[in-house]
Amino acid sequence: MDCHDVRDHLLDFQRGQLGGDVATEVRRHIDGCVECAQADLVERELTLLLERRTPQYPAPIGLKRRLMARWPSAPGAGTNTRGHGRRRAPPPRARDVSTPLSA
Amino acid sequence: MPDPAVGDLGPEALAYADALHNLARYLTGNDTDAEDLVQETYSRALGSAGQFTPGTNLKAWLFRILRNTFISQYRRQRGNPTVGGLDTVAPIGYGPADVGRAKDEVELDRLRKVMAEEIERALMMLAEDARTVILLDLEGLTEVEVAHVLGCAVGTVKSRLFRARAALRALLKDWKR
Repeated sequence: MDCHDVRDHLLDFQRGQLGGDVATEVRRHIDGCVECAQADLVERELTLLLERRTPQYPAPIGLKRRLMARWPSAPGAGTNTRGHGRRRAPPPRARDVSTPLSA
Repeated sequence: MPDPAVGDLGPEALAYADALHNLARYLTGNDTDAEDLVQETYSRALGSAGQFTPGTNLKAWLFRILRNTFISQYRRQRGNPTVGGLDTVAPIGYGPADVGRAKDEVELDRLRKVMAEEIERALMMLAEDARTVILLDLEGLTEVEVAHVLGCAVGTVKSRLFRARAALRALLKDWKR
């Protein structure tokens, strides 16, 4: 296993998603290669950074109220809430949901 | 009139509102459009709930609806196509010249000092598909679930995530403080 292979497997390795033999090979390579060991650290740091510091935008309470009001049988459905959706969606079409769209 | 069974999805479906809104906010870039996008996502889900198979992954299904809605409506409406997609970005190479230890140490040091607003700005600079794959991964979706959301093969998710993280690292590394 060379540096290229190890870099391709780094994320899976860090997440414990590699099979035993491959994981062992990656571990062995990292232990003996300063560049890949450093790359391993950098990738772990990026994961930590994203998990700890990425700003999060939870749904505002008003939006949740509107959603609950519109969903049948959901808690709060049918109750009078302040405000309604700014825009009514057109009738949904099945293909919008089931057909992948190319990005 | 919606299927009576649709109501059964309600509590679980609404439990994903925060996660859906978070992705919507990163896709649209502002609070108003994010709310509209989430609201439209639930409208479409409600209308298509009969197509959802109970026991399958509701979270991935809702994320898929949200992304498809964003692509089909918002991006076109705003005339804001992201130039090039992740698949047009050349993979970051590595070889003896690229994996210098000193260079990686500088990058590591830099990453440790990155602030929240810098992450957000860097994420917003990524192509939409790169941003989406990073955020879905961060949300804890498996590669299979992300593949369902994006409508691509599982192997493609892996390579997209690899390239998206590399692009994000490159942006964060070059940030001027």
